[in-house]
Amino acid sequence: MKKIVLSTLFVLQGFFAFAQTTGVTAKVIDAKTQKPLQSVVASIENTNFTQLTNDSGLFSFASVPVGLQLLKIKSDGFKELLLQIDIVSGKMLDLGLIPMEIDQTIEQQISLVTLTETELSDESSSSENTASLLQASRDAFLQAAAFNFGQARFSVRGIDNEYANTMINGISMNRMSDGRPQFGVWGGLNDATRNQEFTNGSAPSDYVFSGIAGSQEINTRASVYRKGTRLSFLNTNTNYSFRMMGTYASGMDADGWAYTISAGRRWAHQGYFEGTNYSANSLFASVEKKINDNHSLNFTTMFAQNKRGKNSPNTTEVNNLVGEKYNSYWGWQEGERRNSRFKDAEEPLMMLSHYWKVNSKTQINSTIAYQTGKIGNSRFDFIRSNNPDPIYYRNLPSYYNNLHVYVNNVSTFQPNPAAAQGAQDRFVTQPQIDWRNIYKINKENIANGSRIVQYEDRNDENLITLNVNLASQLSDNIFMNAAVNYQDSRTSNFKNMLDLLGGAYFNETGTFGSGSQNYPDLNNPNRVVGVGDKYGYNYNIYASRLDAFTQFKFNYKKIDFYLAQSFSRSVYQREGLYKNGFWPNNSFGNSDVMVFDNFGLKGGFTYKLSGRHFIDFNGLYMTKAPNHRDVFPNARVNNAITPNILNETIRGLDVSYIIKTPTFKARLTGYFNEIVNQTEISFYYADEVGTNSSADGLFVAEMATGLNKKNRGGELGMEWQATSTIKFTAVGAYGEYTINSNPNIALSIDNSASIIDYGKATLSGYKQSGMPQQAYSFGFEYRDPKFWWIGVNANHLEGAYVDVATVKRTTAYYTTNDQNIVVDQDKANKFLEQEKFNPVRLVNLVGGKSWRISGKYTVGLFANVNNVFNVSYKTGGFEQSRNSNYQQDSEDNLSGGPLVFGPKYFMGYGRTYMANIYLTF
Amino acid sequence: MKNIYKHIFIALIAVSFLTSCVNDGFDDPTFNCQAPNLTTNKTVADVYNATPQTPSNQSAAITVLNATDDIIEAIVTSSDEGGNFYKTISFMSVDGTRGFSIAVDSYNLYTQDLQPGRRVFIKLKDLYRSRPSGGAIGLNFGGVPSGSFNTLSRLSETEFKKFIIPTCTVVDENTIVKQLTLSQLNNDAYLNALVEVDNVYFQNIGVTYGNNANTATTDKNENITDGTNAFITRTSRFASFSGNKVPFGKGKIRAVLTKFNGTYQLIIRNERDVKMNDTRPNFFLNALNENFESYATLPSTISFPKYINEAVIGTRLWGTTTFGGNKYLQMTSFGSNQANRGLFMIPVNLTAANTFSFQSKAGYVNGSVFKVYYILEANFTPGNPIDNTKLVDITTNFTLSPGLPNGYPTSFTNSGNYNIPAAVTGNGYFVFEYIGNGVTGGLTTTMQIDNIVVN
Repeated sequence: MKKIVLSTLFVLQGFFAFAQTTGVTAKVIDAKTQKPLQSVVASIENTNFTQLTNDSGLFSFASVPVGLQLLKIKSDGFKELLLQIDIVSGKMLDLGLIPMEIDQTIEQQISLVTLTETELSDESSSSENTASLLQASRDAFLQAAAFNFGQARFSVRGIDNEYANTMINGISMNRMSDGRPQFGVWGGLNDATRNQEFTNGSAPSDYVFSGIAGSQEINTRASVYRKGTRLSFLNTNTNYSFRMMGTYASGMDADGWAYTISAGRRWAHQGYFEGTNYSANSLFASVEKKINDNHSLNFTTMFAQNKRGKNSPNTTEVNNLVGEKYNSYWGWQEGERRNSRFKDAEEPLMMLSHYWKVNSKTQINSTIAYQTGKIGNSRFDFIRSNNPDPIYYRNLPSYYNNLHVYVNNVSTFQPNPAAAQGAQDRFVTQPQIDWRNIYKINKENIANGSRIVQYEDRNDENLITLNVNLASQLSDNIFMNAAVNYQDSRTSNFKNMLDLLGGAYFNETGTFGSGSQNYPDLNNPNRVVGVGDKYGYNYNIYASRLDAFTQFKFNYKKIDFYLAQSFSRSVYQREGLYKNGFWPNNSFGNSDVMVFDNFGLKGGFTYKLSGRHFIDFNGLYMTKAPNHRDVFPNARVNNAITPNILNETIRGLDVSYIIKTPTFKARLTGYFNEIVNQTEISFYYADEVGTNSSADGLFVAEMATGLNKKNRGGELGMEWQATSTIKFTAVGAYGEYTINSNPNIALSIDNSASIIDYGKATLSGYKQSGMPQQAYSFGFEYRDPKFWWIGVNANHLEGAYVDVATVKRTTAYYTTNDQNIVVDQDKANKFLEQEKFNPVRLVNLVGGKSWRISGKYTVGLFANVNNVFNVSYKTGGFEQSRNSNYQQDSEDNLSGGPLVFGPKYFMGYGRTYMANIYLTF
Repeated sequence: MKNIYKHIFIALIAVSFLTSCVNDGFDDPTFNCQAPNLTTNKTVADVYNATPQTPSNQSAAITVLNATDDIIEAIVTSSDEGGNFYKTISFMSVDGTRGFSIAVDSYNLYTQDLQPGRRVFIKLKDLYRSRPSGGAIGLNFGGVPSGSFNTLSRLSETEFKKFIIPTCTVVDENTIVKQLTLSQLNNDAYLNALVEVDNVYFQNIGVTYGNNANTATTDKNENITDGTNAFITRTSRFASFSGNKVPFGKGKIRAVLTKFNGTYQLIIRNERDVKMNDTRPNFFLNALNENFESYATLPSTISFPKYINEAVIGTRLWGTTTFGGNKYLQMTSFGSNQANRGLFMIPVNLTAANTFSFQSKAGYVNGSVFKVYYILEANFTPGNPIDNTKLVDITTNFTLSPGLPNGYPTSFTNSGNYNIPAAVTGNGYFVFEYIGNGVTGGLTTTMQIDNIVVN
């Protein structure tokens, strides 16, 4: 076995030459089973020579240009081969048997417990995770980004994934409300979604006009799956504990039928963070019927149910008192851990695709998809009772250590160390939710209804998508792609009562407003809410989008280039089903119809300095409709449209120098991206805002418009196959991701039913948050011919910043109630300085082995240990907007101890492991 | 194809294996209250008697620091559920003879074992107490006195639980409530007691309990009456029911009695304390001659004891105004910058009355804004939204002032007598409706009404 590998991998000797034609031929086999591999793509680089192997694994090219050529052999699930061959005039070069090895990267991809499954924060929208598409790419840089930097929330080029296009069979899987990929729809279906094509940056995709963050196309056509069965069992200590998966692909039978089915389950009683339980089931089926050589139909259905407990972001004070794994969302109830906030999602997806081979050069694929289901995010609702959150600020010692009391209308520092100690003792002994007390309070208040209930914010989307995609070879050198995509979405949004927690009913009448303002629905005042009832708010969002694009690719001997253009129209409308007491005049009924027209243009080239050296350039200019989440800033209560909302303008370019040799691959890229006119909506509780300057804890929606972001930097990826068994990789990412405008801020305040303009926030110069801006990795991998391998990666990440509170950067920051406060500008500057997180060094180990049993079965083990040295680090965090003026900051900092409203942080995992055992046959 | 069924079957089996390993249902928690092991050594009356009454000519209260380990027992009467009690708790002695209050720096106390009916022990050691001459009158406990009135400070959130120790007993508040008449309420002995008065109603109709906290800076008094005596109910602008309208009918009101300076007042804990479902006495008029001369015009009177005045759309109301020594009722959308619909309703016994007439005068006319209707009692309950389909339009039965596009006619126009049809019986309302719009281009005609006569 070793001999075969050694003799075939890189140096191909002992080939035979035939007379007559000039070309190359070979038979491709599976290194493990020694069986021929069908439908493997063989191609000669920088030529139009491309072939699929036949059922004997054979391919053969004739009339190949004489001289040194690079032969590429690739197939899904196998390691790609790049072989140097010397074509001699008049001779048919026979390479004999070419064994292909299972690609461990794919295994790694399948086993990766992605951070996208955790979707971090719902506290502050802008610190939601921005994880890039995880690429099972051969690119050393992108591999490091996915497998080594991903755990620290690295994002390729710092671009939010709403700018990445994800598709299944050409159908866009970016959610219309926020543009983000709906990873959950295929969560736990790693086997079934392994046929993927990625593009990076704005490089051309055959399926879509992709933006600056690349594209991902998942193909679920039943016949593309390699026939066989795969079973796996995974154990880890991250989001979940266990994962079971089973997949069977039939291959195409004589009648033209092919099908693939897959099922998976992931679960945990408690994940890495305390109280984070996890339960997810996934089902997949795809059936294809080949009608004739030109027409095939394929039906795919996916159903992923996912219910998981969330974990809280915590202040430094809380982490110091009760540890970094602490989660304030759960508590004991009769011996069971109960989480008050969970995400419950199930959005089954059905797709019918038609594959039409019009002629040998033109293909038209059409897909119609229907998706329905629900997403619920639960939490407490409470009325006239204390916040049940154990880390509510009044429950923590910092509140008493920083206590200010108004004495003769002067805010006076009056710390209460005894009360602080009391609060600390109470919190440390009972740091979790007191479910018993909640039930007790509710049972005592039968006459007026539950005081504390658990509800979920529901977003139930019904989505129909139609996609027609044309690919045509117009001439020997010109290829054309074109597609039309139409989406029609209706999302129903409402509060759904989950649990009255011991009470008999809930009265939804609010307490912050006056009189009729307290009714969420004036058409239905004083309603009594039971389990399963909608209440609080209820509205629909209608969104539709038409996208069209064309793309022309020109391939020549020295240069390949492309041009693509797109047009889209997005139409949004809100329909209010409740007449909100605060907004009686613009909450019920339909909003204005908002129409956004957009276009895009991009182009690029690859200049081939030689067969091994390339210069690659991509440039893009496009505009993008705002997401409807940002168009209706306060959609829960009214039809208002964000003032001055505009399309975003996106500009991007990148230049790469690429080296590809059989033993050394490298890519050096410089990039520049700019997003102009972004709109960001965030929600929070604020003190001293609006007309009611003495009111604390008012719920506001903050609208930031005219936000510009600039991302520039360089990427370097190098991979050196030192010997046939040893590989080194070195990867570096240096980025500067900044905000470079001063957006306009307006707050929509419920209890004064007003929108207040706060003017400009001086954000220019602040860093974008949520990811490290610089990352470096060095890796070593040993791949033994006896089918085991081990790798180690040392990573250094830095330049991650806290998400700043926008409203604190407006002039309102300096306005305070207390006229006695004199602003010390040096102190103010210090309070407003953006926190930079400490750099972090992470060492990861990874390894695997596979065995062949009785010729038919392959058993594999894949395992890793991440963060071997158990380094503690922050992956993200946000300043609380609640403490939004100088006086409060100043008072909060007076004691020198922990802040009452300090930033809240998400912590990275400490040392974690993952082991996956699989069986294929 | 057979394979497909086989594998679908396998898949179904697999699915059935994917049963929940993660708990989803939870048992209700069990409660076991730990009774405090305390006994009293003083009664509330003992402590009351040992607290000197501050003389009325002395503003700084005489305060007493309780230095000994005394314990009293009492029952909570107040509730801060409705927000009308804020950072203070009222108690009544177990024997029901003497009440008192304690100031604490905490809220939502009713969810912290201090709901009405809860029996508590109070450890007096280190507490101050006083019986002030001004402000909130009566026995009260608290922390270190401060300010020129020697007001007792609030016990901090962490401290008050050391002084106020709840027992496991919650008595039914119906067993401690004192049934009194309005005149009996004027008695210090009932301060901080839970009291109930029957057969009373709010003097004003269509008014809210309290003021709007977003615009007002003071709290509000609304009188209740038994037809003879009147008594104040006081509602904080921060109470959750502050913006709700007081009921229209007659019945029971339950509240905690307090006294501010020399004035006794009832503090309603929440709207469930007010049960006025009986018919308001003498409300529907057999006869009327209203010339509006008895009402103030500066500021304009907008709430009338006898009539219902509502802003259905916008905030403008019918209100009294005066010109040339004559007082009358007026409404206009001019300058309101909003759409308006104001209803002025006159309750009439339609069986007893025979005719209805009034005088009108229209000014700055730019369109028709005025209509007259009647609606039957069965179709409208004051305080509830009006059902427009039940309004009977009788506008054409009246002669209305045509008015002038600029300025006003010199005199009012007599409407002429409307003869109430014999078929229209029972109680009901005559309704004056104004519909206008203060936004540029809208109808802003000013409408004036005077000398409403029912015979």
